[in-house]
Amino acid sequence: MEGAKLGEVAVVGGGIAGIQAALDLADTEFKVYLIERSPSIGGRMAQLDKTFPTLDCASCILTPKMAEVLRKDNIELLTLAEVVDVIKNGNKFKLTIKQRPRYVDTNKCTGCGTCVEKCTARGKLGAPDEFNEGLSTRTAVYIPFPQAVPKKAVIDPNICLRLRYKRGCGICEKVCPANAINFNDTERILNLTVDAVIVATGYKFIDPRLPELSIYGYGKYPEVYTNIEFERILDARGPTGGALIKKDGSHPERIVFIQCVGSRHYKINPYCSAYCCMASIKQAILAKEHEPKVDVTILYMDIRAYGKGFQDFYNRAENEYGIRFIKGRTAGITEDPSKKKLIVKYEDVMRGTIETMETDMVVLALGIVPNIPSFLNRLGVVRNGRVITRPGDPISTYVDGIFVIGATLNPTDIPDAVLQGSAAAARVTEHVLRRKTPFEVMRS
Amino acid sequence: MSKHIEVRPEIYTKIRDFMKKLGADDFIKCFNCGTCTVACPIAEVLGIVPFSRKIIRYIMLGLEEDLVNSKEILLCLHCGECSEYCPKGANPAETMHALKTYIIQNYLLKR
Ligand SMILES: Cc1cc2nc3c(=O)[nH]c(=O)nc-3n(C[C@H](O)[C@H](O)[C@H](O)COP(=O)(O)OP(=O)(O)OC[C@H]3O[C@@H](n4cnc5c(N)ncnc54)[C@H](O)[C@@H]3O)c2cc1C
Ligand code: SF4
Ligand code: SF4
Repeated sequence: MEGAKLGEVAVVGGGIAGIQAALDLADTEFKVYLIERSPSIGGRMAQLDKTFPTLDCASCILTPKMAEVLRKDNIELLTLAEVVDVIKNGNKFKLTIKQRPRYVDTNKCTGCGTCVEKCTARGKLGAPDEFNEGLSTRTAVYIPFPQAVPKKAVIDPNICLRLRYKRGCGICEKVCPANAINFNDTERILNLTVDAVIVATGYKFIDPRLPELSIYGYGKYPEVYTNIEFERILDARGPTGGALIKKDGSHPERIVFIQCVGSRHYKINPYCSAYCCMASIKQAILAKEHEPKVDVTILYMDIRAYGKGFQDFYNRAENEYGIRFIKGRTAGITEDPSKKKLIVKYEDVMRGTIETMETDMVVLALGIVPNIPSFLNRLGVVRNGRVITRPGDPISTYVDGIFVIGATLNPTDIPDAVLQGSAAAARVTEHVLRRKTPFEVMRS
Repeated sequence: MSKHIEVRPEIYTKIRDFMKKLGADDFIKCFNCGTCTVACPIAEVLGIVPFSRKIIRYIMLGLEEDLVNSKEILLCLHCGECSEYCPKGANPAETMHALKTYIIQNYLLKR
Protein backbone atom coordinates (compact mmCIF):
# COMPACT_ATOMS: atom_id res chain seq x y z
CA MET A 1 0.00 0.00 0.00
CA GLU A 2 1.38 3.43 -0.96
CA GLY A 3 2.78 5.33 1.98
CA ALA A 4 1.50 2.91 4.60
CA LYS A 5 4.72 1.23 5.53
CA LEU A 6 4.36 1.43 9.28
CA GLY A 7 0.63 0.99 9.76
CA GLU A 8 -2.74 2.71 9.62
CA VAL A 9 -4.12 5.29 11.99
CA ALA A 10 -7.49 7.00 12.34
CA VAL A 11 -7.50 10.62 13.53
CA VAL A 12 -11.01 11.64 14.59
CA GLY A 13 -11.56 15.41 14.42
CA GLY A 14 -9.82 17.82 12.05
CA GLY A 15 -9.15 20.81 14.32
CA ILE A 16 -5.62 22.10 14.84
CA ALA A 17 -4.78 19.19 17.19
CA GLY A 18 -5.99 16.51 14.75
CA ILE A 19 -4.35 18.21 11.76
CA GLN A 20 -0.98 18.34 13.53
CA ALA A 21 -1.21 14.65 14.50
CA ALA A 22 -2.18 13.65 10.94
CA LEU A 23 0.68 15.64 9.37
CA ASP A 24 3.32 14.23 11.72
CA LEU A 25 2.07 10.68 11.21
CA ALA A 26 2.06 11.11 7.44
CA ASP A 27 5.69 12.25 7.62
CA THR A 28 6.47 9.09 9.60
CA GLU A 29 5.13 6.90 6.78
CA PHE A 30 1.79 6.00 8.30
CA LYS A 31 -1.43 5.81 6.34
CA VAL A 32 -3.77 8.31 8.04
CA TYR A 33 -7.54 8.54 7.87
CA LEU A 34 -8.56 12.03 9.00
CA ILE A 35 -12.23 11.87 9.91
CA GLU A 36 -14.03 15.24 10.22
CA ARG A 37 -17.70 15.76 11.05
CA SER A 38 -18.16 19.11 9.29
CA PRO A 39 -17.63 19.86 5.57
CA SER A 40 -14.13 21.34 6.18
CA ILE A 41 -11.21 20.74 8.51
CA GLY A 42 -9.82 23.60 10.60
CA GLY A 43 -11.99 23.43 13.70
CA ARG A 44 -12.52 26.48 15.89
CA MET A 45 -9.16 27.98 15.00
CA ALA A 46 -10.46 28.64 11.49
CA GLN A 47 -12.99 31.06 13.01
CA LEU A 48 -10.38 33.08 14.90
CA ASP A 49 -9.07 36.45 13.75
CA LYS A 50 -5.75 36.72 15.63
CA THR A 51 -4.21 34.52 18.31
CA PHE A 52 -2.94 35.38 21.78
CA PRO A 53 -0.39 36.18 23.09
CA THR A 54 1.44 37.21 19.91
CA LEU A 55 -1.50 38.58 17.88
CA ASP A 56 -0.43 36.44 14.93
CA CYS A 57 -3.03 36.06 12.22
CA ALA A 58 -4.79 32.74 12.92
CA SER A 59 -5.46 31.72 9.34
CA CYS A 60 -1.84 32.51 8.32
CA ILE A 61 -0.75 29.74 10.67
CA LEU A 62 -3.61 27.34 10.04
CA THR A 63 -4.22 27.57 6.28
CA PRO A 64 -0.78 26.21 5.22
CA LYS A 65 -1.26 23.24 7.55
CA MET A 66 -4.72 22.59 6.13
CA ALA A 67 -3.38 22.74 2.57
CA GLU A 68 -0.56 20.36 3.55
CA VAL A 69 -3.19 17.76 4.54
CA LEU A 70 -4.43 17.75 0.95
CA ARG A 71 -0.92 17.48 -0.49
CA LYS A 72 0.03 14.38 1.52
CA ASP A 73 -0.70 11.25 -0.49
CA ASN A 74 -0.94 9.08 2.59
CA ILE A 75 -3.65 11.17 4.31
CA GLU A 76 -7.16 10.21 3.32
CA LEU A 77 -9.54 12.97 4.31
CA LEU A 78 -13.14 11.99 5.09
CA THR A 79 -15.39 15.01 5.67
CA LEU A 80 -19.04 15.00 6.78
CA ALA A 81 -18.07 11.76 8.50
CA GLU A 82 -18.61 10.53 12.03
CA VAL A 83 -17.31 7.45 13.78
CA VAL A 84 -20.30 5.40 14.90
CA ASP A 85 -18.43 2.62 16.62
CA VAL A 86 -14.97 1.37 17.51
CA ILE A 87 -14.34 -2.26 18.38
CA LYS A 88 -10.98 -3.49 19.66
CA ASN A 89 -9.95 -6.66 17.93
CA GLY A 90 -6.58 -7.95 19.13
CA ASN A 91 -4.07 -5.23 18.35
CA LYS A 92 -6.38 -3.66 15.76
CA PHE A 93 -9.44 -1.42 15.90
CA LYS A 94 -12.47 -1.85 13.67
CA LEU A 95 -14.18 1.46 12.92
CA THR A 96 -17.66 1.96 11.55
CA ILE A 97 -18.02 5.38 9.93
CA LYS A 98 -21.14 7.13 8.70
CA GLN A 99 -20.55 9.68 5.96
CA ARG A 100 -23.32 12.12 5.11
CA PRO A 101 -23.95 12.94 1.45
CA ARG A 102 -22.34 16.15 0.11
CA TYR A 103 -24.50 16.19 -3.07
CA VAL A 104 -21.44 17.57 -4.85
CA ASP A 105 -18.87 15.39 -6.58
CA THR A 106 -15.58 16.47 -4.97
CA ASN A 107 -13.58 15.08 -7.90
CA LYS A 108 -15.36 17.42 -10.32
CA CYS A 109 -16.09 20.52 -8.16
CA THR A 110 -13.46 23.25 -8.63
CA GLY A 111 -14.74 25.48 -5.81
CA CYS A 112 -15.61 28.25 -8.29
CA GLY A 113 -18.74 29.25 -6.35
CA THR A 114 -21.01 29.78 -9.35
CA CYS A 115 -23.69 27.60 -7.70
CA VAL A 116 -23.48 29.67 -4.50
CA GLU A 117 -24.10 32.88 -6.44
CA LYS A 118 -27.20 31.46 -8.11
CA CYS A 119 -28.73 29.36 -5.29
CA THR A 120 -32.40 30.22 -4.66
CA ALA A 121 -32.38 29.29 -0.96
CA ARG A 122 -30.87 32.49 0.48
CA GLY A 123 -31.84 35.20 2.96
CA LYS A 124 -35.07 34.12 4.64
CA LEU A 125 -34.94 30.79 2.83
CA GLY A 126 -31.28 30.34 3.82
CA ALA A 127 -29.78 29.11 7.08
CA PRO A 128 -27.63 30.68 9.81
CA ASP A 129 -24.00 30.68 8.68
CA GLU A 130 -22.14 28.36 11.08
CA PHE A 131 -18.79 29.99 10.30
CA ASN A 132 -20.14 33.39 11.40
CA GLU A 133 -21.98 31.92 14.40
CA GLY A 134 -25.35 32.81 12.89
CA LEU A 135 -24.54 36.55 12.59
CA SER A 136 -25.13 36.17 8.85
CA THR A 137 -26.99 33.68 6.66
CA ARG A 138 -25.76 31.32 3.99
CA THR A 139 -27.29 29.64 0.95
CA ALA A 140 -28.31 25.96 0.61
CA VAL A 141 -25.30 25.20 -1.56
CA TYR A 142 -22.27 26.79 0.06
CA ILE A 143 -18.52 26.74 0.61
CA PRO A 144 -18.03 26.87 4.41
CA PHE A 145 -15.38 29.64 4.37
CA PRO A 146 -12.84 31.05 1.90
CA GLN A 147 -9.93 28.89 3.15
CA ALA A 148 -12.00 25.68 3.53
CA VAL A 149 -10.23 22.35 2.93
CA PRO A 150 -11.45 20.73 0.82
CA LYS A 151 -12.60 23.89 -0.95
CA LYS A 152 -15.65 22.19 -2.39
CA ALA A 153 -19.32 23.12 -2.34
CA VAL A 154 -21.76 21.24 -0.13
CA ILE A 155 -25.57 21.22 -0.16
CA ASP A 156 -27.53 21.52 3.09
CA PRO A 157 -30.46 19.09 2.57
CA ASN A 158 -32.57 20.79 5.25
CA ILE A 159 -33.04 23.97 3.24
CA CYS A 160 -32.28 22.99 -0.38
CA LEU A 161 -35.53 23.42 -2.31
CA ARG A 162 -34.80 20.57 -4.67
CA LEU A 163 -33.89 18.09 -1.96
CA ARG A 164 -36.81 19.11 0.26
CA TYR A 165 -39.52 18.91 -2.38
CA LYS A 166 -37.87 16.26 -4.60
CA ARG A 167 -38.44 18.45 -7.67
CA GLY A 168 -38.14 22.01 -8.94
CA CYS A 169 -35.25 24.49 -8.58
CA GLY A 170 -32.03 22.63 -9.43
CA ILE A 171 -30.47 25.90 -10.62
CA CYS A 172 -27.07 24.93 -9.21
CA GLU A 173 -27.05 21.80 -11.36
CA LYS A 174 -27.73 23.89 -14.45
CA VAL A 175 -25.12 26.57 -13.79
CA CYS A 176 -22.29 24.39 -12.50
CA PRO A 177 -19.58 24.51 -15.21
CA ALA A 178 -18.00 21.30 -13.92
CA ASN A 179 -21.24 19.34 -13.79
CA ALA A 180 -20.47 18.45 -10.15
CA ILE A 181 -23.94 18.63 -8.55
CA ASN A 182 -25.38 15.21 -7.72
CA PHE A 183 -28.83 15.22 -6.09
CA ASN A 184 -28.79 11.40 -5.92
CA ASP A 185 -25.86 11.27 -3.50
CA THR A 186 -26.56 9.05 -0.48
CA GLU A 187 -25.25 8.32 2.98
CA ARG A 188 -22.36 5.85 3.11
CA ILE A 189 -21.27 3.41 5.79
CA LEU A 190 -17.52 2.79 5.73
CA ASN A 191 -15.51 0.18 7.62
CA LEU A 192 -11.85 0.67 8.45
CA THR A 193 -9.31 -1.41 10.33
CA VAL A 194 -6.51 0.58 11.95
CA ASP A 195 -3.63 0.12 14.39
CA ALA A 196 -4.42 3.16 16.55
CA VAL A 197 -7.04 5.85 17.03
CA ILE A 198 -6.37 9.48 17.97
CA VAL A 199 -9.39 11.40 19.22
CA ALA A 200 -9.26 15.18 18.63
CA THR A 201 -12.92 16.18 18.60
CA GLY A 202 -12.32 19.47 20.41
CA TYR A 203 -14.73 21.31 22.65
CA LYS A 204 -18.27 22.55 22.84
CA PHE A 205 -19.62 25.73 24.39
CA ILE A 206 -21.78 25.94 27.48
CA ASP A 207 -25.22 27.11 26.27
CA PRO A 208 -25.56 30.83 27.16
CA ARG A 209 -29.35 30.36 27.23
CA LEU A 210 -29.24 28.04 30.25
CA PRO A 211 -31.62 29.27 33.00
CA GLU A 212 -28.67 29.83 35.38
CA LEU A 213 -27.10 32.16 32.83
CA SER A 214 -30.29 34.08 31.99
CA ILE A 215 -29.04 36.94 34.23
CA TYR A 216 -26.67 37.94 31.42
CA GLY A 217 -29.55 38.53 29.01
CA TYR A 218 -28.09 36.58 26.09
CA GLY A 219 -30.78 36.18 23.43
CA LYS A 220 -32.82 38.91 25.12
CA TYR A 221 -30.61 41.93 24.45
CA PRO A 222 -29.18 42.05 20.93
CA GLU A 223 -25.94 43.69 22.05
CA VAL A 224 -24.98 40.85 24.39
CA TYR A 225 -22.58 38.62 22.43
CA THR A 226 -20.72 35.40 23.09
CA ASN A 227 -16.96 35.71 22.62
CA ILE A 228 -16.93 33.50 19.53
CA GLU A 229 -19.54 35.81 17.97
CA PHE A 230 -17.39 38.80 18.90
CA GLU A 231 -14.37 37.11 17.31
CA ARG A 232 -16.35 36.95 14.06
CA ILE A 233 -17.15 40.67 14.31
CA LEU A 234 -13.45 41.47 14.71
CA ASP A 235 -12.48 39.32 11.70
CA ALA A 236 -12.18 40.97 8.29
CA ARG A 237 -13.83 37.84 6.80
CA GLY A 238 -16.73 38.21 9.25
CA PRO A 239 -20.31 39.45 8.97
CA THR A 240 -19.35 43.14 9.28
CA GLY A 241 -16.27 42.91 7.11
CA GLY A 242 -14.15 43.54 10.18
CA ALA A 243 -15.94 46.75 11.25
CA LEU A 244 -16.52 46.98 15.00
CA ILE A 245 -20.18 47.99 14.88
CA LYS A 246 -23.40 47.22 16.72
CA LYS A 247 -26.36 45.51 15.07
CA ASP A 248 -27.84 48.94 14.25
CA GLY A 249 -24.62 49.91 12.45
CA SER A 250 -23.42 52.47 15.02
CA HIS A 251 -20.00 52.37 16.69
CA PRO A 252 -19.85 51.30 20.34
CA GLU A 253 -18.40 53.76 22.85
CA ARG A 254 -17.90 51.11 25.49
CA ILE A 255 -17.52 47.32 25.60
CA VAL A 256 -17.66 45.24 28.79
CA PHE A 257 -16.29 41.69 28.91
CA ILE A 258 -17.68 39.31 31.53
CA GLN A 259 -15.41 36.43 32.47
CA CYS A 260 -16.23 32.89 33.65
CA VAL A 261 -19.71 32.73 32.10
CA GLY A 262 -20.55 29.04 32.51
CA SER A 263 -17.14 28.22 34.00
CA ARG A 264 -16.28 27.67 37.66
CA HIS A 265 -19.97 27.45 38.44
CA TYR A 266 -21.01 24.61 40.71
CA LYS A 267 -24.27 23.90 38.93
CA ILE A 268 -23.11 24.16 35.32
CA ASN A 269 -19.43 23.44 34.93
CA PRO A 270 -17.16 23.59 37.95
CA TYR A 271 -13.95 23.83 35.94
CA CYS A 272 -11.89 26.71 34.60
CA SER A 273 -12.08 26.90 30.80
CA ALA A 274 -8.42 27.94 30.51
CA TYR A 275 -8.59 29.87 27.25
CA CYS A 276 -11.05 32.67 28.08
CA CYS A 277 -8.96 35.06 30.21
CA MET A 278 -6.44 35.36 27.40
CA ALA A 279 -9.11 35.32 24.67
CA SER A 280 -10.86 38.30 26.29
CA ILE A 281 -7.59 40.21 26.73
CA LYS A 282 -6.83 39.54 23.06
CA GLN A 283 -10.27 40.67 21.94
CA ALA A 284 -10.04 43.77 24.14
CA ILE A 285 -6.74 44.71 22.48
CA LEU A 286 -8.13 44.01 19.00
CA ALA A 287 -11.19 46.15 19.77
CA LYS A 288 -8.83 49.00 20.75
CA GLU A 289 -6.87 48.50 17.54
CA HIS A 290 -10.09 48.68 15.52
CA GLU A 291 -11.43 51.72 17.41
CA PRO A 292 -8.79 53.44 19.56
CA LYS A 293 -11.47 55.60 21.21
CA VAL A 294 -13.57 52.69 22.49
CA ASP A 295 -13.56 52.23 26.27
CA VAL A 296 -12.94 48.60 27.25
CA THR A 297 -13.51 46.99 30.66
CA ILE A 298 -12.92 43.38 31.69
CA LEU A 299 -14.85 42.16 34.75
CA TYR A 300 -12.97 39.16 36.11
CA MET A 301 -12.89 36.83 39.11
CA ASP A 302 -9.15 36.38 38.76
CA ILE A 303 -6.99 36.60 35.64
CA ARG A 304 -5.30 33.30 34.96
CA ALA A 305 -2.24 34.22 32.90
CA TYR A 306 -0.44 30.90 33.23
CA GLY A 307 1.19 30.30 29.84
CA LYS A 308 4.29 31.50 28.03
CA GLY A 309 4.07 35.23 27.38
CA PHE A 310 0.62 35.51 28.98
CA GLN A 311 1.54 37.78 31.91
CA ASP A 312 3.34 40.20 29.57
CA PHE A 313 0.28 40.23 27.34
CA TYR A 314 -1.95 41.03 30.30
CA ASN A 315 0.40 43.82 31.46
CA ARG A 316 0.51 45.30 27.97
CA ALA A 317 -3.27 45.30 27.75
CA GLU A 318 -3.50 47.26 30.97
CA ASN A 319 -0.55 49.63 30.55
CA GLU A 320 -0.21 50.17 26.80
CA TYR A 321 -3.80 49.84 25.65
CA GLY A 322 -5.49 51.29 28.74
CA ILE A 323 -7.91 48.42 29.18
CA ARG A 324 -9.66 48.58 32.54
CA PHE A 325 -9.51 45.40 34.65
CA ILE A 326 -11.98 45.22 37.54
CA LYS A 327 -12.26 42.32 39.95
CA GLY A 328 -15.95 41.61 40.34
CA ARG A 329 -18.64 39.42 38.92
CA THR A 330 -21.93 40.87 37.79
CA ALA A 331 -25.20 39.49 39.11
CA GLY A 332 -27.18 40.79 36.20
CA ILE A 333 -27.44 42.88 33.07
CA THR A 334 -30.41 45.14 32.36
CA GLU A 335 -31.24 47.57 29.60
CA ASP A 336 -32.07 51.25 29.55
CA PRO A 337 -34.31 51.25 26.49
CA SER A 338 -34.54 55.06 26.29
CA LYS A 339 -30.78 55.41 25.90
CA LYS A 340 -30.33 52.06 24.17
CA LYS A 341 -27.64 51.19 26.71
CA LEU A 342 -26.98 48.02 28.65
CA ILE A 343 -26.44 48.38 32.38
CA VAL A 344 -23.97 46.13 34.17
CA LYS A 345 -24.06 46.10 37.95
CA TYR A 346 -21.11 44.66 39.88
CA GLU A 347 -19.13 44.87 43.07
CA ASP A 348 -15.69 46.39 42.65
CA VAL A 349 -14.15 43.86 45.01
CA MET A 350 -10.87 45.74 45.47
CA ARG A 351 -12.76 48.82 46.69
CA GLY A 352 -15.78 47.12 48.24
CA THR A 353 -18.30 49.30 46.39
CA ILE A 354 -21.31 48.53 44.21
CA GLU A 355 -21.00 50.09 40.78
CA THR A 356 -23.17 50.33 37.69
CA MET A 357 -21.72 50.80 34.27
CA GLU A 358 -23.54 51.82 31.10
CA THR A 359 -22.26 50.09 28.01
CA ASP A 360 -23.07 49.54 24.34
CA MET A 361 -21.86 45.98 24.00
CA VAL A 362 -21.36 43.09 26.40
CA VAL A 363 -19.15 40.10 25.53
CA LEU A 364 -19.59 36.88 27.49
CA ALA A 365 -16.40 34.81 27.87
CA LEU A 366 -18.17 31.51 27.45
CA GLY A 367 -17.10 28.33 29.22
CA ILE A 368 -16.19 25.24 27.22
CA VAL A 369 -16.26 21.52 27.96
CA PRO A 370 -14.70 18.57 26.13
CA ASN A 371 -16.68 17.28 23.16
CA ILE A 372 -16.46 13.54 23.76
CA PRO A 373 -17.69 11.20 21.00
CA SER A 374 -19.98 8.44 22.28
CA PHE A 375 -17.64 5.59 21.28
CA LEU A 376 -15.21 6.74 23.99
CA ASN A 377 -17.99 6.29 26.55
CA ARG A 378 -18.57 2.78 25.28
CA LEU A 379 -14.87 2.00 25.57
CA GLY A 380 -15.14 2.92 29.24
CA VAL A 381 -12.51 5.66 29.37
CA VAL A 382 -14.83 8.54 30.40
CA ARG A 383 -15.67 9.55 33.97
CA ASN A 384 -17.77 12.61 34.86
CA GLY A 385 -17.45 14.14 31.43
CA ARG A 386 -13.65 13.85 31.25
CA VAL A 387 -11.44 11.27 29.55
CA ILE A 388 -9.32 9.28 31.98
CA THR A 389 -5.66 9.05 30.97
CA ARG A 390 -2.58 7.52 32.52
CA PRO A 391 -0.54 9.30 35.18
CA GLY A 392 2.61 10.72 33.65
CA ASP A 393 1.25 9.97 30.18
CA PRO A 394 -1.60 12.43 29.81
CA ILE A 395 -2.66 11.61 26.24
CA SER A 396 -2.86 7.78 26.56
CA THR A 397 -6.11 6.19 27.68
CA TYR A 398 -6.32 2.87 29.47
CA VAL A 399 -7.28 1.21 26.17
CA ASP A 400 -3.91 0.53 24.52
CA GLY A 401 -3.82 2.31 21.17
CA ILE A 402 -6.45 4.98 21.87
CA PHE A 403 -5.06 8.47 22.38
CA VAL A 404 -6.92 11.65 23.22
CA ILE A 405 -5.57 15.14 22.48
CA GLY A 406 -6.48 18.84 22.35
CA ALA A 407 -9.63 20.26 23.88
CA THR A 408 -11.20 16.78 24.01
CA LEU A 409 -8.90 16.15 26.93
CA ASN A 410 -9.33 19.45 28.69
CA PRO A 411 -9.93 23.06 27.61
CA THR A 412 -6.72 24.19 25.96
CA ASP A 413 -5.14 26.86 23.82
CA ILE A 414 -3.65 26.38 20.37
CA PRO A 415 0.03 25.90 21.36
CA ASP A 416 -0.92 23.06 23.73
CA ALA A 417 -3.24 21.50 21.13
CA VAL A 418 -0.36 21.49 18.60
CA LEU A 419 2.05 19.99 21.15
CA GLN A 420 -0.40 17.23 21.96
CA GLY A 421 -0.94 16.52 18.26
CA SER A 422 2.79 15.95 17.77
CA ALA A 423 3.01 14.00 21.02
CA ALA A 424 0.23 11.67 19.87
CA ALA A 425 2.04 11.00 16.59
CA ALA A 426 5.15 10.01 18.56
CA ARG A 427 3.10 7.83 20.93
CA VAL A 428 1.39 6.05 18.03
CA THR A 429 4.74 5.33 16.38
CA GLU A 430 6.03 3.84 19.58
CA HIS A 431 2.79 1.90 20.15
CA VAL A 432 2.81 0.33 16.68
CA LEU A 433 6.52 -0.48 16.59
CA ARG A 434 6.39 -2.11 20.03
CA ARG A 435 3.83 -4.56 18.67
CA LYS A 436 5.88 -5.63 15.67
CA THR A 437 8.63 -8.22 15.62
CA PRO A 438 12.08 -6.87 14.66
CA PHE A 439 11.72 -8.80 11.40
CA GLU A 440 8.47 -7.04 10.53
CA VAL A 441 10.05 -3.66 11.25
CA MET A 442 13.08 -4.46 9.08
CA ARG A 443 10.91 -5.59 6.22
CA SER A 444 8.75 -2.50 6.28
CA MET B 1 -8.03 53.13 53.93
CA SER B 2 -5.90 50.11 54.71
CA LYS B 3 -5.61 48.96 58.27
CA HIS B 4 -3.22 46.54 59.89
CA ILE B 5 -4.84 43.16 60.50
CA GLU B 6 -3.66 40.07 62.28
CA VAL B 7 -4.68 36.81 60.63
CA ARG B 8 -5.86 34.25 63.21
CA PRO B 9 -6.04 30.71 61.78
CA GLU B 10 -7.11 29.21 65.13
CA ILE B 11 -10.18 31.47 65.22
CA TYR B 12 -11.02 30.48 61.67
CA THR B 13 -10.87 26.80 62.68
CA LYS B 14 -13.03 27.43 65.73
CA ILE B 15 -15.76 29.18 63.75
CA ARG B 16 -15.58 26.68 60.90
CA ASP B 17 -16.05 23.76 63.30
CA PHE B 18 -19.02 25.50 64.87
CA MET B 19 -20.54 26.13 61.46
CA LYS B 20 -19.90 22.53 60.42
CA LYS B 21 -22.00 21.30 63.32
CA LEU B 22 -24.85 23.44 62.03
CA GLY B 23 -24.33 22.08 58.50
CA ALA B 24 -23.41 25.58 57.31
CA ASP B 25 -19.77 25.21 56.27
CA ASP B 26 -20.31 25.70 52.53
CA PHE B 27 -18.71 29.16 52.91
CA ILE B 28 -15.26 27.55 52.63
CA LYS B 29 -15.95 27.30 48.87
CA CYS B 30 -16.14 31.10 48.54
CA PHE B 31 -13.60 32.57 46.10
CA ASN B 32 -14.37 36.19 46.80
CA CYS B 33 -16.03 37.15 43.53
CA GLY B 34 -18.57 39.62 44.89
CA THR B 35 -21.64 38.31 43.08
CA CYS B 36 -23.52 38.03 46.37
CA THR B 37 -22.92 41.73 47.08
CA VAL B 38 -24.67 42.74 43.90
CA ALA B 39 -27.47 40.24 44.45
CA CYS B 40 -28.21 41.45 48.01
CA PRO B 41 -31.24 43.80 48.28
CA ILE B 42 -30.17 45.19 51.67
CA ALA B 43 -26.69 46.08 50.51
CA GLU B 44 -28.32 48.21 47.85
CA VAL B 45 -31.02 49.87 49.98
CA LEU B 46 -28.92 50.55 53.07
CA GLY B 47 -25.74 51.18 51.15
CA ILE B 48 -23.80 48.62 53.20
CA VAL B 49 -21.31 46.99 50.87
CA PRO B 50 -19.89 44.43 50.47
CA PHE B 51 -22.48 42.45 52.34
CA SER B 52 -21.98 38.69 52.78
CA ARG B 53 -18.64 38.61 50.96
CA LYS B 54 -17.02 40.75 53.64
CA ILE B 55 -18.46 38.60 56.42
CA ILE B 56 -17.07 35.45 54.82
CA ARG B 57 -13.67 37.19 54.52
CA TYR B 58 -13.80 37.95 58.27
CA ILE B 59 -14.24 34.25 59.04
CA MET B 60 -11.51 33.23 56.62
CA LEU B 61 -9.04 35.62 58.25
CA GLY B 62 -10.21 34.83 61.77
CA LEU B 63 -11.24 38.43 62.53
CA GLU B 64 -13.66 37.59 65.29
CA GLU B 65 -13.97 41.13 66.65
CA ASP B 66 -14.92 42.57 63.27
CA LEU B 67 -17.36 39.72 62.81
CA VAL B 68 -19.13 40.24 66.10
CA ASN B 69 -19.33 43.99 65.66
CA SER B 70 -20.60 43.92 62.08
CA LYS B 71 -24.17 45.03 61.59
CA GLU B 72 -24.65 42.90 58.48
CA ILE B 73 -25.21 39.62 60.31
CA LEU B 74 -28.11 40.96 62.36
CA LEU B 75 -29.54 42.94 59.45
CA CYS B 76 -29.63 39.99 57.04
CA LEU B 77 -33.17 39.02 56.08
CA HIS B 78 -32.29 35.52 54.83
CA CYS B 79 -34.04 36.19 51.56
CA GLY B 80 -31.53 33.81 49.95
CA GLU B 81 -30.84 35.95 46.86
CA CYS B 82 -27.06 35.77 47.40
CA SER B 83 -27.13 31.97 47.61
CA GLU B 84 -29.22 31.87 44.45
CA TYR B 85 -26.58 33.77 42.46
CA CYS B 86 -23.38 32.44 44.06
CA PRO B 87 -21.43 30.50 41.41
CA LYS B 88 -19.69 28.29 43.95
CA GLY B 89 -22.62 27.06 46.02
CA ALA B 90 -20.97 28.75 49.00
CA ASN B 91 -24.41 29.48 50.42
CA PRO B 92 -23.75 32.96 51.86
CA ALA B 93 -27.34 33.24 53.19
CA GLU B 94 -26.93 30.05 55.19
CA THR B 95 -23.60 31.36 56.47
CA MET B 96 -25.22 34.57 57.71
CA HIS B 97 -27.93 32.57 59.43
CA ALA B 98 -25.50 30.28 61.23
CA LEU B 99 -23.36 33.24 62.26
CA LYS B 100 -26.36 34.77 63.95
CA THR B 101 -26.52 31.63 66.13
CA TYR B 102 -22.78 31.86 66.73
CA ILE B 103 -23.02 35.42 67.99
CA ILE B 104 -26.05 34.75 70.16
CA GLN B 105 -24.52 31.66 71.77
CA ASN B 106 -21.03 33.03 72.29
CA TYR B 107 -21.73 36.64 73.14
CA LEU B 108 -25.32 37.66 73.80
CA LEU B 109 -26.23 34.67 76.04
CA LYS B 110 -22.98 34.89 77.97
CA ARG B 111 -23.34 38.55 78.80
C1 LIG C 1 -13.48 33.18 21.17
C2 LIG C 1 -12.29 32.29 21.19
C3 LIG C 1 -11.02 32.81 20.99
C4 LIG C 1 -9.89 32.00 21.07
N1 LIG C 1 -8.68 32.57 20.85
C5 LIG C 1 -7.56 31.81 20.96
C6 LIG C 1 -6.28 32.40 20.75
O1 LIG C 1 -6.17 33.59 20.44
N2 LIG C 1 -5.17 31.62 20.92
C7 LIG C 1 -5.26 30.30 21.28
O2 LIG C 1 -4.23 29.65 21.44
N3 LIG C 1 -6.48 29.70 21.45
C8 LIG C 1 -7.63 30.43 21.30
N4 LIG C 1 -8.85 29.83 21.47
C9 LIG C 1 -8.90 28.38 21.79
C10 LIG C 1 -8.82 27.52 20.52
O3 LIG C 1 -10.05 27.63 19.83
C11 LIG C 1 -8.58 26.04 20.89
O4 LIG C 1 -7.38 25.96 21.62
C12 LIG C 1 -8.40 25.14 19.68
O5 LIG C 1 -9.42 25.35 18.74
C13 LIG C 1 -8.41 23.67 20.12
O6 LIG C 1 -8.23 22.84 19.01
P1 LIG C 1 -8.79 21.35 18.91
O7 LIG C 1 -8.25 20.80 17.65
O8 LIG C 1 -8.48 20.65 20.18
O9 LIG C 1 -10.38 21.48 18.86
P2 LIG C 1 -11.41 22.15 17.80
O10 LIG C 1 -10.87 23.40 17.23
O11 LIG C 1 -12.71 22.23 18.52
O12 LIG C 1 -11.53 21.08 16.62
C14 LIG C 1 -12.27 19.90 16.75
C15 LIG C 1 -12.65 19.37 15.38
O13 LIG C 1 -13.28 18.09 15.51
C16 LIG C 1 -14.47 18.05 14.75
N5 LIG C 1 -15.39 17.08 15.42
C17 LIG C 1 -16.12 17.28 16.53
N6 LIG C 1 -16.81 16.15 16.85
C18 LIG C 1 -16.50 15.23 15.92
C19 LIG C 1 -16.88 13.88 15.72
N7 LIG C 1 -17.71 13.25 16.57
N8 LIG C 1 -16.38 13.22 14.65
C20 LIG C 1 -15.52 13.84 13.81
N9 LIG C 1 -15.11 15.12 13.95
C21 LIG C 1 -15.60 15.81 15.00
C22 LIG C 1 -14.97 19.46 14.75
O14 LIG C 1 -15.84 19.71 13.66
C23 LIG C 1 -13.65 20.25 14.64
O15 LIG C 1 -13.26 20.40 13.31
C24 LIG C 1 -10.02 30.62 21.37
C25 LIG C 1 -11.29 30.07 21.56
C26 LIG C 1 -12.42 30.88 21.47
C27 LIG C 1 -13.76 30.30 21.69
S1 SF4 D 1 -31.28 23.14 -5.97
FE1 SF4 D 1 -30.95 23.58 -3.81
S2 SF4 D 1 -28.77 24.08 -3.67
FE2 SF4 D 1 -29.28 24.14 -5.85
S3 SF4 D 1 -29.78 26.28 -6.24
FE3 SF4 D 1 -31.72 25.30 -5.71
S4 SF4 D 1 -31.95 25.56 -3.51
FE4 SF4 D 1 -29.81 26.04 -4.01
S1 SF4 E 1 -21.11 34.96 45.49
FE1 SF4 E 1 -20.40 33.11 46.58
S2 SF4 E 1 -18.25 32.85 45.92
FE2 SF4 E 1 -18.84 34.92 45.32
S3 SF4 E 1 -18.16 36.23 47.07
FE3 SF4 E 1 -20.32 35.69 47.48
S4 SF4 E 1 -20.24 33.82 48.71
FE4 SF4 E 1 -18.19 34.09 47.80
